[in-house]
Amino acid sequence: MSHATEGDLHAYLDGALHDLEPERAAALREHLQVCSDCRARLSEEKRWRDGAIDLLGSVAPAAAEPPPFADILAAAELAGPSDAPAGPSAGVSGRVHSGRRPGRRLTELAWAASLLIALGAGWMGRSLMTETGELERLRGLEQNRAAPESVELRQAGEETMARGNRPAEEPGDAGKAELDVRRDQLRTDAVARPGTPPANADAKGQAEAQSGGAAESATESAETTRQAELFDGGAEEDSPAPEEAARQKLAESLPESEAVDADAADMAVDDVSAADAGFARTGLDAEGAVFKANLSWMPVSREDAAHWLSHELLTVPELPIVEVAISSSDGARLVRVTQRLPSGSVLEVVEQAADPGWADAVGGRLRNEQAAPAEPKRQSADSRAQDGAAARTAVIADVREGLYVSLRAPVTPDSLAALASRLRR
Amino acid sequence: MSADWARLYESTYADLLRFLMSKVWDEERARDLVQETFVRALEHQPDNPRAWLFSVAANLARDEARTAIRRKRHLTLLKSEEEARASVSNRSDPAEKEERREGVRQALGHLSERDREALLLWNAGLSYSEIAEQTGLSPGAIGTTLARARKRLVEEYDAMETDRVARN
Repeated sequence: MSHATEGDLHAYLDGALHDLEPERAAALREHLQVCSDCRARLSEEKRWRDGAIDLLGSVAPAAAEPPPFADILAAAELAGPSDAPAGPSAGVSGRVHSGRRPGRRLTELAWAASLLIALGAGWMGRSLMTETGELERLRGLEQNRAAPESVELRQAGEETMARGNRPAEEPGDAGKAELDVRRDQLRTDAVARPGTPPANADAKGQAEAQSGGAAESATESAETTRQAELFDGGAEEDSPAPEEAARQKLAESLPESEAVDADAADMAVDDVSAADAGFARTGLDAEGAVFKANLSWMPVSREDAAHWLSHELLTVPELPIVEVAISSSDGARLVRVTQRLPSGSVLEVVEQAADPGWADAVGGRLRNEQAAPAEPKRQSADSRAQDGAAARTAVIADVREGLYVSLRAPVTPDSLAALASRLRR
Repeated sequence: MSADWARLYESTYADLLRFLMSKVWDEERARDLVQETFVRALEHQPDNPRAWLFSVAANLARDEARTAIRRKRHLTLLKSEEEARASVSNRSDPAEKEERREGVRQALGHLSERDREALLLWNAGLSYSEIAEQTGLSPGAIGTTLARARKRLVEEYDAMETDRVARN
Protein backbone atom coordinates (compact mmCIF):
# COMPACT_ATOMS: atom_id res chain seq x y z
CA MET A 1 0.00 0.00 0.00
CA SER A 2 0.99 3.62 -0.25
CA HIS A 3 2.11 5.47 2.84
CA ALA A 4 -0.32 5.75 5.67
CA THR A 5 -2.40 8.90 5.96
CA GLU A 6 -2.58 10.92 9.16
CA GLY A 7 -6.03 9.58 9.67
CA ASP A 8 -4.78 6.01 9.37
CA LEU A 9 -2.06 6.70 11.90
CA HIS A 10 -4.46 8.23 14.40
CA ALA A 11 -6.87 5.36 13.93
CA TYR A 12 -3.96 3.03 14.60
CA LEU A 13 -2.98 4.99 17.71
CA ASP A 14 -6.59 5.07 18.90
CA GLY A 15 -6.95 1.34 18.44
CA ALA A 16 -9.71 2.01 15.98
CA LEU A 17 -8.48 0.07 12.98
CA HIS A 18 -11.45 -2.22 13.37
CA ASP A 19 -13.59 0.74 12.34
CA LEU A 20 -11.78 0.88 9.02
CA GLU A 21 -12.37 -1.55 6.20
CA PRO A 22 -10.72 -4.88 7.17
CA GLU A 23 -8.53 -4.98 4.06
CA ARG A 24 -7.30 -1.47 4.66
CA ALA A 25 -6.60 -2.15 8.33
CA ALA A 26 -4.64 -5.28 7.50
CA ALA A 27 -2.62 -3.48 4.84
CA LEU A 28 -1.84 -0.65 7.23
CA ARG A 29 -0.54 -3.02 9.86
CA GLU A 30 1.71 -4.71 7.33
CA HIS A 31 2.91 -1.39 5.97
CA LEU A 32 3.90 -0.05 9.38
CA GLN A 33 6.02 -3.16 9.85
CA VAL A 34 8.11 -2.40 6.84
CA CYS A 35 7.97 1.39 6.32
CA SER A 36 10.36 3.37 8.53
CA ASP A 37 9.04 6.69 7.23
CA CYS A 38 5.55 5.88 8.35
CA ARG A 39 6.82 4.67 11.72
CA ALA A 40 8.57 8.00 12.14
CA ARG A 41 5.40 9.82 11.22
CA LEU A 42 3.56 7.61 13.66
CA SER A 43 5.82 8.91 16.43
CA GLU A 44 5.19 12.46 15.30
CA GLU A 45 1.41 11.98 15.28
CA LYS A 46 1.62 10.35 18.66
CA ARG A 47 3.09 13.55 20.08
CA TRP A 48 0.17 15.57 18.73
CA ARG A 49 -2.23 13.02 20.07
CA ASP A 50 -0.59 12.92 23.49
CA GLY A 51 -0.50 16.71 23.61
CA ALA A 52 -4.21 16.94 22.89
CA ILE A 53 -4.99 14.27 25.46
CA ASP A 54 -2.94 16.15 28.01
CA LEU A 55 -4.69 19.43 27.32
CA LEU A 56 -8.16 17.95 27.38
CA GLY A 57 -7.34 15.94 30.46
CA SER A 58 -6.19 19.04 32.29
CA VAL A 59 -9.62 20.58 32.01
CA ALA A 60 -11.55 17.45 32.89
CA PRO A 61 -13.80 17.77 35.92
CA ALA A 62 -12.66 16.22 39.14
CA ALA A 63 -13.82 12.68 39.60
CA ALA A 64 -16.90 12.55 41.73
CA GLU A 65 -19.68 10.18 42.48
CA PRO A 66 -22.71 10.82 40.34
CA PRO A 67 -25.85 11.80 42.17
CA PRO A 68 -28.09 8.88 43.09
CA PHE A 69 -29.87 7.47 40.09
CA ALA A 70 -33.07 7.52 42.15
CA ASP A 71 -32.97 11.31 42.01
CA ILE A 72 -32.84 11.20 38.24
CA LEU A 73 -35.62 8.66 38.12
CA ALA A 74 -37.76 10.67 40.48
CA ALA A 75 -37.20 13.85 38.50
CA ALA A 76 -38.13 12.06 35.31
CA GLU A 77 -41.30 10.75 36.94
CA LEU A 78 -42.16 14.21 38.08
CA ALA A 79 -41.44 15.77 34.73
CA GLY A 80 -43.69 13.26 32.99
CA PRO A 81 -43.74 12.82 29.24
CA SER A 82 -41.86 15.67 27.69
CA ASP A 83 -43.53 17.97 25.23
CA ALA A 84 -40.20 18.36 23.51
CA PRO A 85 -39.77 16.32 20.38
CA ALA A 86 -38.27 12.95 21.00
CA GLY A 87 -34.99 11.86 19.53
CA PRO A 88 -31.49 13.15 19.24
CA SER A 89 -32.58 16.32 17.52
CA ALA A 90 -34.60 17.34 20.53
CA GLY A 91 -33.59 20.72 21.67
CA VAL A 92 -33.70 22.16 25.11
CA SER A 93 -37.09 22.00 26.68
CA GLY A 94 -38.74 24.73 28.63
CA ARG A 95 -37.41 23.28 31.80
CA VAL A 96 -33.93 24.41 31.00
CA HIS A 97 -35.19 27.68 29.67
CA SER A 98 -36.97 28.34 32.88
CA GLY A 99 -34.10 30.38 34.17
CA ARG A 100 -33.49 28.02 37.02
CA ARG A 101 -30.60 25.67 37.19
CA PRO A 102 -31.87 22.30 36.05
CA GLY A 103 -29.73 20.27 38.38
CA ARG A 104 -30.65 22.39 41.31
CA ARG A 105 -34.25 22.08 40.30
CA LEU A 106 -33.83 18.34 40.11
CA THR A 107 -32.40 18.28 43.57
CA GLU A 108 -35.16 20.44 44.92
CA LEU A 109 -37.82 18.38 43.29
CA ALA A 110 -36.38 14.98 44.00
CA TRP A 111 -38.14 14.49 47.28
CA ALA A 112 -41.25 16.17 46.01
CA ALA A 113 -41.18 13.73 43.15
CA SER A 114 -40.86 10.92 45.62
CA LEU A 115 -44.00 12.12 47.26
CA LEU A 116 -45.77 12.50 43.97
CA ILE A 117 -44.81 9.02 42.95
CA ALA A 118 -46.07 7.71 46.23
CA LEU A 119 -49.35 9.52 45.75
CA GLY A 120 -49.53 8.39 42.17
CA ALA A 121 -48.91 4.83 43.20
CA GLY A 122 -51.69 5.09 45.69
CA TRP A 123 -53.94 6.65 43.13
CA MET A 124 -53.16 3.98 40.60
CA GLY A 125 -53.30 1.24 43.15
CA ARG A 126 -56.59 2.47 44.38
CA SER A 127 -57.94 2.66 40.87
CA LEU A 128 -56.78 -0.83 40.10
CA MET A 129 -58.02 -2.25 43.34
CA THR A 130 -61.44 -0.73 42.96
CA GLU A 131 -61.73 -1.19 39.24
CA THR A 132 -63.56 -4.47 39.28
CA GLY A 133 -65.98 -3.39 41.95
CA GLU A 134 -66.52 0.07 40.62
CA LEU A 135 -69.32 -0.64 38.18
CA GLU A 136 -71.10 -2.72 40.72
CA ARG A 137 -70.88 -0.01 43.34
CA LEU A 138 -71.93 2.62 40.89
CA ARG A 139 -74.85 0.48 39.87
CA GLY A 140 -75.87 0.33 43.49
CA LEU A 141 -75.70 4.08 43.60
CA GLU A 142 -77.84 4.42 40.54
CA GLN A 143 -80.47 2.08 41.87
CA ASN A 144 -81.06 4.59 44.64
CA ARG A 145 -81.58 7.41 42.20
CA ALA A 146 -84.52 8.38 40.09
CA ALA A 147 -84.25 8.23 36.31
CA PRO A 148 -84.36 12.03 35.75
CA GLU A 149 -81.37 12.32 37.98
CA SER A 150 -79.53 10.07 35.60
CA VAL A 151 -80.17 12.54 32.84
CA GLU A 152 -78.88 15.31 35.04
CA LEU A 153 -75.86 13.25 35.82
CA ARG A 154 -75.20 12.70 32.17
CA GLN A 155 -75.54 16.37 31.43
CA ALA A 156 -73.30 17.22 34.28
CA GLY A 157 -70.84 14.69 33.04
CA GLU A 158 -70.91 16.12 29.57
CA GLU A 159 -70.38 19.60 30.92
CA THR A 160 -67.58 18.33 32.99
CA MET A 161 -66.01 16.65 30.02
CA ALA A 162 -66.46 19.78 27.97
CA ARG A 163 -64.57 21.72 30.58
CA GLY A 164 -61.87 19.13 30.49
CA ASN A 165 -61.35 19.38 34.19
CA ARG A 166 -58.65 17.35 35.74
CA PRO A 167 -58.52 15.82 39.17
CA ALA A 168 -57.30 18.29 41.72
CA GLU A 169 -54.54 15.90 42.56
CA GLU A 170 -52.82 14.55 39.52
CA PRO A 171 -51.96 10.89 39.64
CA GLY A 172 -48.57 9.55 38.67
CA ASP A 173 -47.71 9.02 35.04
CA ALA A 174 -48.75 5.42 34.90
CA GLY A 175 -51.95 6.10 36.70
CA LYS A 176 -52.58 9.15 34.58
CA ALA A 177 -52.06 7.19 31.40
CA GLU A 178 -54.51 4.62 32.58
CA LEU A 179 -56.97 7.30 33.50
CA ASP A 180 -56.56 8.99 30.16
CA VAL A 181 -57.39 5.76 28.39
CA ARG A 182 -60.36 5.10 30.57
CA ARG A 183 -61.54 8.69 30.30
CA ASP A 184 -61.38 8.55 26.55
CA GLN A 185 -63.25 5.28 26.54
CA LEU A 186 -65.90 6.65 28.82
CA ARG A 187 -66.30 9.75 26.74
CA THR A 188 -66.75 7.65 23.65
CA ASP A 189 -69.31 5.50 25.37
CA ALA A 190 -71.11 8.49 26.80
CA VAL A 191 -71.56 9.94 23.34
CA ALA A 192 -72.57 6.68 21.75
CA ARG A 193 -74.78 5.31 24.44
CA PRO A 194 -77.90 7.44 24.87
CA GLY A 195 -80.69 5.24 23.55
CA THR A 196 -78.30 2.87 21.90
CA PRO A 197 -76.29 -0.10 22.99
CA PRO A 198 -72.79 0.69 24.12
CA ALA A 199 -70.28 0.86 21.36
CA ASN A 200 -67.64 -0.84 23.41
CA ALA A 201 -68.56 -4.48 23.57
CA ASP A 202 -66.06 -5.19 26.32
CA ALA A 203 -67.40 -2.45 28.51
CA LYS A 204 -70.90 -3.64 27.92
CA GLY A 205 -69.92 -7.17 28.67
CA GLN A 206 -68.30 -6.08 31.85
CA ALA A 207 -71.36 -4.13 32.87
CA GLU A 208 -73.63 -7.02 32.08
CA ALA A 209 -71.45 -9.45 33.87
CA GLN A 210 -71.53 -7.34 36.96
CA SER A 211 -75.22 -6.55 36.81
CA GLY A 212 -76.49 -9.94 35.83
CA GLY A 213 -77.09 -8.86 32.27
CA ALA A 214 -80.11 -6.70 33.05
CA ALA A 215 -78.62 -3.28 32.45
CA GLU A 216 -80.74 -0.64 30.82
CA SER A 217 -79.18 1.84 28.49
CA ALA A 218 -80.28 4.84 30.57
CA THR A 219 -78.67 3.41 33.63
CA GLU A 220 -75.57 2.60 31.69
CA SER A 221 -75.41 6.15 30.44
CA ALA A 222 -75.70 7.42 33.95
CA GLU A 223 -73.03 5.03 35.05
CA THR A 224 -70.82 6.08 32.26
CA THR A 225 -71.21 9.73 32.94
CA ARG A 226 -70.84 9.10 36.61
CA GLN A 227 -67.55 7.41 35.93
CA ALA A 228 -66.56 10.21 33.64
CA GLU A 229 -67.25 12.64 36.43
CA LEU A 230 -65.17 10.60 38.77
CA PHE A 231 -62.25 10.42 36.45
CA ASP A 232 -62.55 14.00 35.36
CA GLY A 233 -62.92 15.00 38.94
CA GLY A 234 -64.85 18.10 38.02
CA ALA A 235 -68.38 17.19 38.99
CA GLU A 236 -69.70 18.55 42.21
CA GLU A 237 -70.62 16.03 44.82
CA ASP A 238 -74.14 15.81 46.07
CA SER A 239 -75.01 18.11 48.89
CA PRO A 240 -73.92 16.69 52.19
CA ALA A 241 -76.63 14.80 53.94
CA PRO A 242 -77.75 16.11 57.31
CA GLU A 243 -75.37 15.04 59.98
CA GLU A 244 -77.73 12.63 61.66
CA ALA A 245 -78.63 10.91 58.43
CA ALA A 246 -75.01 10.77 57.50
CA ARG A 247 -74.15 9.34 60.87
CA GLN A 248 -76.77 6.66 60.44
CA LYS A 249 -75.64 5.92 56.95
CA LEU A 250 -72.10 5.74 58.16
CA ALA A 251 -73.09 3.41 60.95
CA GLU A 252 -74.81 1.21 58.42
CA SER A 253 -72.04 1.28 55.93
CA LEU A 254 -68.94 1.38 58.06
CA PRO A 255 -67.19 -1.90 58.37
CA GLU A 256 -67.92 -4.20 61.21
CA SER A 257 -64.76 -5.63 62.54
CA GLU A 258 -65.80 -9.10 61.44
CA ALA A 259 -67.12 -8.22 58.01
CA VAL A 260 -65.15 -5.28 56.81
CA ASP A 261 -64.77 -6.18 53.18
CA ALA A 262 -68.43 -6.36 52.19
CA ASP A 263 -69.32 -3.17 53.98
CA ALA A 264 -66.29 -1.37 52.70
CA ALA A 265 -67.58 -1.65 49.15
CA ASP A 266 -70.87 -0.01 50.12
CA MET A 267 -69.05 2.62 52.07
CA ALA A 268 -66.96 3.51 49.09
CA VAL A 269 -69.93 4.20 46.84
CA ASP A 270 -70.46 7.73 47.97
CA ASP A 271 -66.85 8.44 48.57
CA VAL A 272 -65.09 7.52 45.41
CA SER A 273 -65.07 11.06 44.12
CA ALA A 274 -64.07 12.60 47.38
CA ALA A 275 -61.34 10.07 47.89
CA ASP A 276 -60.09 10.44 44.36
CA ALA A 277 -60.11 14.19 44.48
CA GLY A 278 -58.69 14.75 47.88
CA PHE A 279 -57.06 11.90 49.64
CA ALA A 280 -54.92 9.36 47.95
CA ARG A 281 -53.86 6.17 49.54
CA THR A 282 -50.17 5.81 49.09
CA GLY A 283 -50.10 2.10 49.69
CA LEU A 284 -46.62 2.38 51.06
CA ASP A 285 -45.31 1.40 54.43
CA ALA A 286 -43.14 4.29 55.52
CA GLU A 287 -46.14 6.36 56.53
CA GLY A 288 -46.90 3.98 59.33
CA ALA A 289 -43.76 5.11 61.09
CA VAL A 290 -45.62 7.67 63.12
CA PHE A 291 -47.67 4.89 64.67
CA LYS A 292 -44.65 2.74 65.31
CA ALA A 293 -42.69 5.54 66.91
CA ASN A 294 -42.62 5.52 70.67
CA LEU A 295 -44.23 8.90 71.15
CA SER A 296 -45.63 10.34 74.33
CA TRP A 297 -49.09 11.75 73.85
CA MET A 298 -50.69 14.32 76.09
CA PRO A 299 -54.50 14.64 75.98
CA VAL A 300 -55.62 18.22 75.38
CA SER A 301 -58.71 20.02 74.21
CA ARG A 302 -59.47 20.20 70.55
CA GLU A 303 -58.87 23.94 70.59
CA ASP A 304 -55.50 23.55 72.23
CA ALA A 305 -54.52 20.90 69.73
CA ALA A 306 -55.53 23.15 66.86
CA HIS A 307 -53.42 25.90 68.37
CA TRP A 308 -50.52 23.47 68.78
CA LEU A 309 -50.80 22.51 65.13
CA SER A 310 -51.62 26.04 63.93
CA HIS A 311 -54.39 24.39 61.94
CA GLU A 312 -57.94 23.23 62.40
CA LEU A 313 -57.96 19.51 63.02
CA LEU A 314 -58.96 16.93 60.47
CA THR A 315 -61.75 14.70 61.74
CA VAL A 316 -64.53 12.56 60.40
CA PRO A 317 -67.49 14.74 61.48
CA GLU A 318 -69.89 11.84 61.84
CA LEU A 319 -67.75 10.00 64.35
CA PRO A 320 -67.54 10.85 68.05
CA ILE A 321 -64.15 12.01 69.24
CA VAL A 322 -62.69 9.86 71.94
CA GLU A 323 -59.52 11.81 72.55
CA VAL A 324 -57.37 14.59 71.18
CA ALA A 325 -53.72 14.46 72.10
CA ILE A 326 -50.53 16.23 71.16
CA SER A 327 -46.92 15.17 70.93
CA SER A 328 -43.66 16.24 69.38
CA SER A 329 -40.84 14.49 67.59
CA ASP A 330 -37.60 16.05 66.46
CA GLY A 331 -39.12 19.47 66.67
CA ALA A 332 -42.19 18.52 64.65
CA ARG A 333 -45.55 19.04 66.31
CA LEU A 334 -48.03 16.22 66.12
CA VAL A 335 -51.71 15.95 66.91
CA ARG A 336 -53.64 12.73 67.21
CA VAL A 337 -57.41 12.56 67.07
CA THR A 338 -58.98 9.30 68.12
CA GLN A 339 -62.53 8.68 66.96
CA ARG A 340 -64.85 5.79 67.69
CA LEU A 341 -66.11 3.69 64.82
CA PRO A 342 -69.59 2.12 64.91
CA SER A 343 -67.97 -1.23 65.50
CA GLY A 344 -66.50 0.07 68.73
CA SER A 345 -62.93 0.16 67.46
CA VAL A 346 -61.17 3.46 66.91
CA LEU A 347 -59.81 5.50 64.07
CA GLU A 348 -56.61 7.41 64.72
CA VAL A 349 -55.79 10.48 62.69
CA VAL A 350 -52.33 11.91 63.21
CA GLU A 351 -51.37 15.22 61.69
CA GLN A 352 -47.80 16.36 61.62
CA ALA A 353 -45.97 19.25 60.08
CA ALA A 354 -43.86 17.68 57.34
CA ASP A 355 -40.28 17.90 58.48
CA PRO A 356 -37.00 17.22 56.67
CA GLY A 357 -36.54 13.94 58.45
CA TRP A 358 -39.80 12.68 57.10
CA ALA A 359 -38.93 13.89 53.61
CA ASP A 360 -35.67 12.01 53.78
CA ALA A 361 -37.47 8.91 54.94
CA VAL A 362 -39.77 9.03 51.96
CA GLY A 363 -36.87 9.66 49.62
CA GLY A 364 -34.92 6.81 51.12
CA ARG A 365 -37.85 4.50 50.81
CA LEU A 366 -38.28 5.46 47.20
CA ARG A 367 -34.67 4.67 46.48
CA ASN A 368 -34.99 1.33 48.19
CA GLU A 369 -38.04 0.49 46.18
CA GLN A 370 -36.41 1.43 42.96
CA ALA A 371 -33.58 -0.91 43.81
CA ALA A 372 -36.14 -3.68 44.16
CA PRO A 373 -36.64 -5.70 41.01
CA ALA A 374 -40.31 -5.65 40.14
CA GLU A 375 -43.45 -3.57 40.53
CA PRO A 376 -42.69 -2.12 43.91
CA LYS A 377 -45.68 0.19 44.03
CA ARG A 378 -48.30 -2.36 43.13
CA GLN A 379 -46.68 -4.97 45.26
CA SER A 380 -46.56 -2.67 48.16
CA ALA A 381 -50.22 -1.78 47.82
CA ASP A 382 -51.24 -5.39 47.47
CA SER A 383 -49.13 -6.56 50.33
CA ARG A 384 -50.48 -3.71 52.37
CA ALA A 385 -53.98 -4.92 51.66
CA GLN A 386 -53.06 -8.45 52.60
CA ASP A 387 -51.16 -7.40 55.66
CA GLY A 388 -53.90 -5.05 56.68
CA ALA A 389 -56.52 -7.73 56.32
CA ALA A 390 -54.40 -10.16 58.25
CA ALA A 391 -53.72 -7.76 61.05
CA ARG A 392 -57.08 -6.00 60.65
CA THR A 393 -55.22 -2.73 60.76
CA ALA A 394 -54.70 -0.44 57.82
CA VAL A 395 -52.52 2.61 57.61
CA ILE A 396 -52.65 5.25 54.95
CA ALA A 397 -51.17 8.68 54.64
CA ASP A 398 -51.29 11.82 52.62
CA VAL A 399 -50.25 15.43 52.75
CA ARG A 400 -52.90 18.06 53.10
CA GLU A 401 -52.20 21.73 53.25
CA GLY A 402 -48.60 21.09 54.10
CA LEU A 403 -49.41 18.70 56.92
CA TYR A 404 -48.52 15.05 56.91
CA VAL A 405 -51.65 13.11 57.78
CA SER A 406 -51.70 9.45 58.79
CA LEU A 407 -54.71 7.28 59.50
CA ARG A 408 -54.88 3.97 61.24
CA ALA A 409 -57.87 1.81 62.00
CA PRO A 410 -58.60 -1.92 62.34
CA VAL A 411 -60.34 -2.03 58.97
CA THR A 412 -59.38 -2.90 55.43
CA PRO A 413 -57.44 -0.39 53.32
CA ASP A 414 -60.57 0.25 51.24
CA SER A 415 -62.56 1.05 54.33
CA LEU A 416 -59.86 3.31 55.62
CA ALA A 417 -59.72 5.09 52.29
CA ALA A 418 -63.45 5.65 52.56
CA LEU A 419 -62.97 7.09 56.02
CA ALA A 420 -60.17 9.27 54.77
CA SER A 421 -62.46 10.73 52.16
CA ARG A 422 -64.73 11.93 54.94
CA LEU A 423 -62.08 13.88 56.77
CA ARG A 424 -62.92 17.54 57.14
CA ARG A 425 -61.46 20.47 59.00
CA MET B 1 -35.61 -1.31 32.66
CA SER B 2 -34.60 0.83 35.63
CA ALA B 3 -31.71 -1.47 36.36
CA ASP B 4 -30.43 -1.10 32.80
CA TRP B 5 -30.74 2.64 32.97
CA ALA B 6 -29.05 2.68 36.33
CA ARG B 7 -26.11 0.77 34.88
CA LEU B 8 -25.95 3.05 31.88
CA TYR B 9 -26.08 6.03 34.19
CA GLU B 10 -23.20 4.73 36.26
CA SER B 11 -21.09 3.84 33.25
CA THR B 12 -21.77 6.95 31.20
CA TYR B 13 -21.97 9.68 33.79
CA ALA B 14 -18.26 10.50 33.84
CA ASP B 15 -18.00 10.44 30.04
CA LEU B 16 -20.96 12.74 29.62
CA LEU B 17 -19.65 15.04 32.31
CA ARG B 18 -16.26 15.29 30.61
CA PHE B 19 -17.95 15.94 27.28
CA LEU B 20 -20.21 18.62 28.68
CA MET B 21 -17.45 20.14 30.77
CA SER B 22 -15.49 20.91 27.63
CA LYS B 23 -18.63 22.39 26.15
CA VAL B 24 -19.89 24.67 28.88
CA TRP B 25 -16.70 25.14 30.91
CA ASP B 26 -18.49 25.18 34.19
CA GLU B 27 -18.38 22.04 36.25
CA GLU B 28 -21.60 22.67 38.12
CA ARG B 29 -23.45 23.48 34.95
CA ALA B 30 -21.99 20.43 33.29
CA ARG B 31 -23.24 18.25 36.13
CA ASP B 32 -26.66 19.85 35.88
CA LEU B 33 -26.78 19.15 32.19
CA VAL B 34 -25.76 15.54 32.67
CA GLN B 35 -28.70 15.10 34.99
CA GLU B 36 -31.00 16.87 32.61
CA THR B 37 -29.80 14.65 29.80
CA PHE B 38 -30.59 11.52 31.74
CA VAL B 39 -33.98 12.82 32.80
CA ARG B 40 -34.82 13.34 29.15
CA ALA B 41 -33.55 9.94 28.23
CA LEU B 42 -35.79 8.37 30.84
CA GLU B 43 -38.71 10.30 29.47
CA HIS B 44 -38.05 9.34 25.87
CA GLN B 45 -36.65 5.84 26.33
CA PRO B 46 -34.53 5.99 23.17
CA ASP B 47 -33.59 2.80 21.35
CA ASN B 48 -29.91 3.66 21.27
CA PRO B 49 -29.52 5.38 24.59
CA ARG B 50 -25.78 6.00 24.58
CA ALA B 51 -25.79 7.78 21.24
CA TRP B 52 -28.97 9.56 22.18
CA LEU B 53 -27.43 10.80 25.41
CA PHE B 54 -24.51 12.43 23.67
CA SER B 55 -26.71 13.98 21.02
CA VAL B 56 -29.03 15.53 23.56
CA ALA B 57 -26.10 16.57 25.71
CA ALA B 58 -24.60 18.37 22.74
CA ASN B 59 -27.90 20.12 22.09
CA LEU B 60 -28.24 21.12 25.69
CA ALA B 61 -24.71 22.45 25.71
CA ARG B 62 -25.37 24.41 22.54
CA ASP B 63 -28.40 26.01 24.06
CA GLU B 64 -26.48 26.62 27.24
CA ALA B 65 -23.83 28.40 25.22
CA ARG B 66 -26.41 30.76 23.76
CA THR B 67 -27.51 31.61 27.25
CA ALA B 68 -23.91 32.02 28.30
CA ILE B 69 -23.35 34.71 25.71
CA ARG B 70 -25.70 36.93 27.63
CA ARG B 71 -23.63 36.42 30.74
CA LYS B 72 -20.35 36.92 28.98
CA ARG B 73 -19.90 40.61 29.50
CA HIS B 74 -20.59 40.40 33.17
CA LEU B 75 -18.35 37.39 33.60
CA THR B 76 -15.58 39.04 31.66
CA LEU B 77 -15.64 41.94 34.06
CA LEU B 78 -15.52 39.62 37.01
CA LYS B 79 -12.78 37.64 35.38
CA SER B 80 -10.58 40.65 34.83
CA GLU B 81 -10.98 41.55 38.46
CA GLU B 82 -10.02 38.07 39.51
CA GLU B 83 -6.98 38.09 37.26
CA ALA B 84 -5.91 41.44 38.65
CA ARG B 85 -6.08 40.03 42.13
CA ALA B 86 -4.27 36.86 41.10
CA SER B 87 -1.46 38.80 39.51
CA VAL B 88 -0.53 40.47 42.75
CA SER B 89 -0.56 37.29 44.76
CA ASN B 90 1.23 34.04 44.46
CA ARG B 91 -0.40 31.78 41.95
CA SER B 92 -2.02 28.84 43.53
CA ASP B 93 -2.69 25.59 41.77
CA PRO B 94 -6.37 26.33 41.28
CA ALA B 95 -5.44 29.58 39.56
CA GLU B 96 -3.04 27.83 37.26
CA LYS B 97 -5.60 25.20 36.50
CA GLU B 98 -8.16 27.83 35.71
CA GLU B 99 -5.70 29.59 33.46
CA ARG B 100 -4.96 26.39 31.62
CA ARG B 101 -8.62 25.67 31.34
CA GLU B 102 -9.23 29.03 29.79
CA GLY B 103 -6.37 28.45 27.37
CA VAL B 104 -7.78 25.13 26.27
CA ARG B 105 -11.20 26.64 25.91
CA GLN B 106 -9.85 29.34 23.64
CA ALA B 107 -7.78 26.87 21.66
CA LEU B 108 -10.80 24.67 21.11
CA GLY B 109 -12.61 27.74 19.89
CA HIS B 110 -10.22 27.89 16.95
CA LEU B 111 -11.27 24.48 15.72
CA SER B 112 -14.06 24.03 13.26
CA GLU B 113 -17.27 22.95 14.89
CA ARG B 114 -17.12 19.51 13.29
CA ASP B 115 -13.51 18.91 14.30
CA ARG B 116 -14.18 20.11 17.82
CA GLU B 117 -17.24 17.91 18.15
CA ALA B 118 -15.37 14.84 16.97
CA LEU B 119 -12.48 15.56 19.32
CA LEU B 120 -14.69 16.09 22.35
CA LEU B 121 -16.73 13.00 21.60
CA TRP B 122 -13.55 10.97 21.30
CA ASN B 123 -12.34 12.49 24.55
CA ALA B 124 -15.59 11.40 26.15
CA GLY B 125 -14.86 7.82 25.22
CA LEU B 126 -16.92 7.32 22.10
CA SER B 127 -15.65 4.95 19.45
CA TYR B 128 -15.02 5.97 15.86
CA SER B 129 -18.31 4.38 14.88
CA GLU B 130 -20.19 6.27 17.55
CA ILE B 131 -18.51 9.53 16.61
CA ALA B 132 -19.41 8.89 13.01
CA GLU B 133 -23.01 8.34 13.99
CA GLN B 134 -23.08 11.54 16.00
CA THR B 135 -21.36 13.77 13.49
CA GLY B 136 -22.56 12.29 10.22
CA LEU B 137 -19.00 11.64 9.10
CA SER B 138 -17.98 8.29 7.70
CA PRO B 139 -16.06 6.06 10.12
CA GLY B 140 -13.09 6.17 7.77
CA ALA B 141 -12.95 9.96 8.04
CA ILE B 142 -12.83 10.11 11.83
CA GLY B 143 -9.10 9.45 12.05
CA THR B 144 -8.35 12.29 9.65
CA THR B 145 -10.71 14.60 11.51
CA LEU B 146 -9.15 13.76 14.84
CA ALA B 147 -5.64 14.17 13.49
CA ARG B 148 -6.48 17.66 12.26
CA ALA B 149 -8.32 18.59 15.45
CA ARG B 150 -5.56 17.41 17.77
CA LYS B 151 -2.84 19.17 15.89
CA ARG B 152 -4.81 22.40 15.72
CA LEU B 153 -5.66 22.26 19.40
CA VAL B 154 -2.05 21.83 20.46
CA GLU B 155 -0.77 24.44 18.02
CA GLU B 156 -3.29 27.04 19.09
CA TYR B 157 -2.68 26.42 22.76
CA ASP B 158 1.09 26.62 22.34
CA ALA B 159 0.75 29.83 20.38
CA MET B 160 -1.34 31.43 23.10
CA GLU B 161 1.05 30.29 25.78
CA THR B 162 3.95 31.75 23.86
CA ASP B 163 2.15 35.07 23.58
CA ARG B 164 1.32 35.10 27.25
CA VAL B 165 4.88 34.41 28.28
CA ALA B 166 6.10 37.10 25.93
CA ARG B 167 3.66 39.62 27.44
CA ASN B 168 4.71 38.78 30.94
